[in-house]
Amino acid sequence: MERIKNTLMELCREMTVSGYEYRAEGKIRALCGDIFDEIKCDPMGNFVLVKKSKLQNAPKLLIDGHFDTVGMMVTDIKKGGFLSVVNIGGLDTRVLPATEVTVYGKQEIYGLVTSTPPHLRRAGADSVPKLEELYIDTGYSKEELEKIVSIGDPVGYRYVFTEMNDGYVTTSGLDDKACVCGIIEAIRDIDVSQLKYDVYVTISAQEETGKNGSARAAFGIEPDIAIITDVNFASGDGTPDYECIKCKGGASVDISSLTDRRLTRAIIKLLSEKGIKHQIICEPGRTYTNNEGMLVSGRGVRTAVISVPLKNMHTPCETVNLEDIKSLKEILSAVMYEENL
Amino acid sequence: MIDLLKKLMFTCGVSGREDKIREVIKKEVEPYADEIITDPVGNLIVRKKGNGKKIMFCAHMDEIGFFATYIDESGYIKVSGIGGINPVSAAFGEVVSESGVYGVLVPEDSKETPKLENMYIDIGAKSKKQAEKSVKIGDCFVCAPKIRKLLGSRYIGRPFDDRVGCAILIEALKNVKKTENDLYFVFSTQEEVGGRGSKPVSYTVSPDVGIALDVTGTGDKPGSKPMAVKIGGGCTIKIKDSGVISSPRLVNKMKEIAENNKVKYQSEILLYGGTDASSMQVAGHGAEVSAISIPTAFIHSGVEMIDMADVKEAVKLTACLAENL
Repeated sequence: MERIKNTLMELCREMTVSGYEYRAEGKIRALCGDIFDEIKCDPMGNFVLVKKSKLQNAPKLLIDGHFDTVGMMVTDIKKGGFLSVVNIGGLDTRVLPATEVTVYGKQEIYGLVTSTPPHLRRAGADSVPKLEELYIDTGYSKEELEKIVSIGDPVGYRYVFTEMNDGYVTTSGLDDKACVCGIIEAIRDIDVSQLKYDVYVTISAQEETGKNGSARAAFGIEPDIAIITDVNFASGDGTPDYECIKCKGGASVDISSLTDRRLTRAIIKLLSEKGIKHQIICEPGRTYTNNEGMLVSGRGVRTAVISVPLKNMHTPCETVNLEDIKSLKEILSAVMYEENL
Repeated sequence: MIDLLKKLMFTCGVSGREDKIREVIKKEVEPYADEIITDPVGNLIVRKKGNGKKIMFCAHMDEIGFFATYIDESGYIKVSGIGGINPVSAAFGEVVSESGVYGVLVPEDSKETPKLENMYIDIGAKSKKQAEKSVKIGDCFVCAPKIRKLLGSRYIGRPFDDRVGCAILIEALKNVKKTENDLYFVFSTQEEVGGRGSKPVSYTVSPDVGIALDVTGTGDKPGSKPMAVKIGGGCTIKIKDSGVISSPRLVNKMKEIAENNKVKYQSEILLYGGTDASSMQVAGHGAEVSAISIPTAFIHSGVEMIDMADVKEAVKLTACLAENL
């Protein structure tokens, strides 16, 4: 569990706002260089990591977790050291005022999203401010700021990693680095002699801005099967139970019209037979994961979706239980050893 | 350059009906190309061969307009809009069909804010029979093309979107010096209805780098949305729009090449709207993409406004990128 936590911290420490994933290439190579046979970064910023089996002409299994996170981008530098920003991905603006952020200019600088004190808010003003009404306060003058920050520079939530009680951890970017962590840890401990597939891991780009990245990587790989891992809503934060999975209930297998029935059924059967902890969630329509693009890439791909329960999605304090990451790791290992999928 | 622009702007080419404009462009580029292909969706692919990096430049040759949908007993013509028509700017304006029939597009009630479904084209016909001799269902119309010089190097007219991009590509193709790069200058179809032409051509070409040339909005007119782009401030290098986050690695290279060659540029974040760059980014294996844009006020109106100084910078930057990327 300690190792899962350490890998997770290493991943979350990196700024990977959609479009800027490539900046973490050094970290990916440092973390995964010894674990995989091959690592490359493609034009879209996807990292494709290969782990070959000992078999001749083994089928190709793609396992995807997206690396990018929601965030912001600088659109202008204003008088008094304020930055105006635009959202990258579905930012939760309810919790933005007074949030601590890091601006990634020529150097990293501290910023704070502006907020109007409750005393001064006009009666009738919306309780949820729009992003265009908010600025990032840096404490610099405009002239100083222009030397450090350019239009287009990314802005991310400030990195803080907190361990809570009972295996819960909270930080930003656990969507979807919790799953990326589970994938890396599964491959780290894999017994290659039992591996039934050539495994292609995509730590993919730009999921939060239109699920664009992983399908491009899949186009080049032409996998026989693809497992998409992403986070899903955990119950307990005011969301209806039937749309949620439970923290500490294990990773879930998603049943959706966009996932492959045979593959999904085979995975559920496998996990039940082996007694591996998991839960099941129904998503009758869309899955809102990379599965949507992957499914129709190239000549089409058989996909399944496995998700990890997450609280407070798209906020600075996304929360996950390490046990559920461990469950994802065990599920993926079982899948990689099973030839009849 | 103005003569070329005029020639392109005065050739009708509504989305899906790009045959005429394609022929005009083809004549212009023929002396400078190693290979010219028209693909099944009508994209014009102009290649300058090389053994190096595959770079695709893309400007769309289609424009917004109208299709005639119904001719009533009195000879009035109902239309359907193609692309992002602004009915306020189109109302009471002169229109012209692809075969050169003139008319006016007018609202039924002149006091209401015009909606396209309550507007009709009057070509001066006395009856359905007479109208049908000049216009058939499915014929397309555009708001009458125009170009006029204002103060300094500012011009107004239509359709600068995106004939100015086509003109820049043609000029850059003429100017580009010998290079190892494998260059594709693509004039795409159906951009105004959702970037439909550029999708298949991006797959066919499968470029390493894709750069769109198009118009972009500005933040310097009364009431414009906050945007750090000004007319006359230089051509722009696109960082983001609604459809694409440009590859930061490519953007950095573009800025560096612009600075080395003393090109005046601005960084562009367009909050609403997209270009063919998004198609190029997600075709096949994916490509590094961005765009060069011309700051344009009043886009999709009859008086789109540009500054020719920005156009010159864009031509220079396009040629420099073709040689040095």
